[in-house]
Amino acid sequence: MSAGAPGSWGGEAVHPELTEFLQQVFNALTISGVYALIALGITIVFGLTGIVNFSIGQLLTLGAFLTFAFWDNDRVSFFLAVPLAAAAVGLLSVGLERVAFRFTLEQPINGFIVSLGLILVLQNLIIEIWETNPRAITPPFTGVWDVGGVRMPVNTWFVILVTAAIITLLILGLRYTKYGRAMRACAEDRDAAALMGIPVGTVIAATFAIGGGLAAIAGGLLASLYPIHPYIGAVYLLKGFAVALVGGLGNIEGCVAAALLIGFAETFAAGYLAGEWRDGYTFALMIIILLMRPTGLFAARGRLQQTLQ
Amino acid sequence: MQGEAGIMPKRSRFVWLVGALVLALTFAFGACEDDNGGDGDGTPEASSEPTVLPSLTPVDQEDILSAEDVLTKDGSATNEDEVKWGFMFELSGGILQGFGEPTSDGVKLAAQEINDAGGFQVGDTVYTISLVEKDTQSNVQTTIAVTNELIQDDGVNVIWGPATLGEPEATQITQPQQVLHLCPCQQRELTALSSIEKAHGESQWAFQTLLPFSLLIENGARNFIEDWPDVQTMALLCQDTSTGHDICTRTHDAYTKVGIDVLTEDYFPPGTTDYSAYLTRIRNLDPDYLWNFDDPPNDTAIVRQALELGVGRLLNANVPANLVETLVGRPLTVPVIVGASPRQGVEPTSQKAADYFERYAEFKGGADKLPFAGFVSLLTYDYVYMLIAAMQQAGTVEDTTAIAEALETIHYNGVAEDDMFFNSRHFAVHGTDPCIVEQDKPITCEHQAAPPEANY
Repeated sequence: MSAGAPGSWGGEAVHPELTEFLQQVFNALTISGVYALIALGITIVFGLTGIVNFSIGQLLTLGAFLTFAFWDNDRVSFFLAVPLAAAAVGLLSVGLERVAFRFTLEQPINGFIVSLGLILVLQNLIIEIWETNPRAITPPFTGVWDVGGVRMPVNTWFVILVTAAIITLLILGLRYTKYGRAMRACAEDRDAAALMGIPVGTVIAATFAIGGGLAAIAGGLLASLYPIHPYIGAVYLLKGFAVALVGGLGNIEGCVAAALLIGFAETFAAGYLAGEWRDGYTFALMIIILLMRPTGLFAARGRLQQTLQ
Repeated sequence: MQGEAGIMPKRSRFVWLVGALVLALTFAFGACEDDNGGDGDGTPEASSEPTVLPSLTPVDQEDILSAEDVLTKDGSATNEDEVKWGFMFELSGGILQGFGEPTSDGVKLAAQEINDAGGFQVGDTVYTISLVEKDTQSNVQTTIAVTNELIQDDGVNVIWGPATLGEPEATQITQPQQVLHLCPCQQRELTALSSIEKAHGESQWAFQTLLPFSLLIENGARNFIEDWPDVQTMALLCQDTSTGHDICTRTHDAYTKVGIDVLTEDYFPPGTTDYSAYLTRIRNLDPDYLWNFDDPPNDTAIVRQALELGVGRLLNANVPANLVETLVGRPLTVPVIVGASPRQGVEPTSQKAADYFERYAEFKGGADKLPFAGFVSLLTYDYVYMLIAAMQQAGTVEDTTAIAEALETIHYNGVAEDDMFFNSRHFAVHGTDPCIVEQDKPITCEHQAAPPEANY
């Protein structure tokens, strides 16, 4: 059925092993992109505040459900629903920073505990609004490109490209914009940054907004790939946190590299080794990396600002 | 129904972590080990039961009770009282809530109907039902705690639930205390009700309101090969949990037994949402039928990715048939088999089922309020009436041994089946409703009777 599938580019597999390998590469890119977006939400907040925000998984779930709510059978276009959801979750994240996290900045461990509590609050909020029934969004692109037997759903390409674009914009923004420089200064020394006239509180709030927004985008994109339910955040939180740790908490490039590493490790473990041990291989790899480089692959000296210099 | 790629059907299947009941569903089509005994086989053990008991099916239709009989009062009643039943289900705490809620709804709906009818008569007393509701929070330790609370603090002698999680632990508490304990709880096949001796001895107050998976699966395989004779090969992709292994192994054996070449049996960790790596590997084997077992709705992600990757010419899912297209989210280029036990509510296969799902929708406040897996409410609903019939027959609401003995003999004309009963191992005997979902075609469903070997 491959050649005849709607939207497909017909093609015959020339070499089954090569085709399978290339298909697995494509599969790995897809899941790596999703992991990268979630891990970025964690790492960017940690880079600035030192807070490990575990509620990011629920923000992802909220983003997925808000995307669904805005979209709801083409009420608004999916392409608009995702930014709307990201904006809403970003605003909520600012609210959470203002009413909760800002009081934990001097003791980030308290912020971590606050985030654990928020998991329950947000999860029950989602259940209260949308109940436990699963939802799914019809992907904006339903075609499948078949290139030499490698089948690539157009929607998956869309997710990969959007993720790549967001990561690029984030890196460029942090490196070359006024806000990016302010954020790096705040990460270096909040008191000194304040003395230099940088509105530290605003920068921190904006960083929470970006972190939440990234999680919401990840959720929205996920909703176009898989059915969603109120408990989906926990699965991605664990993987996202593993990626952020391996990349070096606070390090954006490291985060991307680790997402690729974990994504490829998972995919190839599932594809070529004992599939049920997929997570075992991945976490064993993570343990080995952290034993060899306790601060992660790229976080050699500290937080955000060093890695972006 | 008509499939694609040369597959021409002649006619037309959840966890204790998330899927035990799902399995009942899956296994409308779906698996069994050898028939020669050993715990876990839904048929009697050869070693422990040398003589298969005669069929419990009553000779005369009039011997089959109905709700009307259960609710009839003869005017001799002079007292009013209340029976207090324990009620513990997964009402929060995770994806199992999606099954705990509807399963509990069956008990609530039946109790409401009975109370609205003025109660039921036993002896000279008319009783109404009071449910002492507990939330197991989808947690084994909480299930144990609430079981103890219900028995010790609330003093109940009947407990309904849970849907799946924590049942073996709860049963270990209820049975020594002679508490009637009814639930779908599919693990009883392997534990409390693993033999007829247990069902008539240490576990005589335990009843499973779901046909054993082993029988569901084997029966499903037999029906499958009749419906899809052109299917020669299949691949199994299952969740790496004890339930997943149990189900998949049984499915593997059952489908092999009916002549299908099972090319592979692959497992993925619980919580997986991206199955593409597994499916890519399976694609190289080119199976006719890709059969999956995962928690719904993740199983529909498998269907979606299988469609995208071009794996299989026939697929399966465990979600309600009317949600397949929505949850898969892309054109169904191959047929998808969906199962439900005992009846699904999308295309009701009997008038009683249609009427029931209307009443259930009304009970929930509208069709749009029906839970995702609403059909599992039928895994408790009829059995409330059966329990009352047993109390009436035993002439007591207190003597749980007498009630259990009566329950073993009751035949009931219910929603799920016209003749519902528990077999000698205390398993409910009922059929399943497999459906076929195809793009741009009406959903077709057919009720398949319980396998004859269930009737012992």
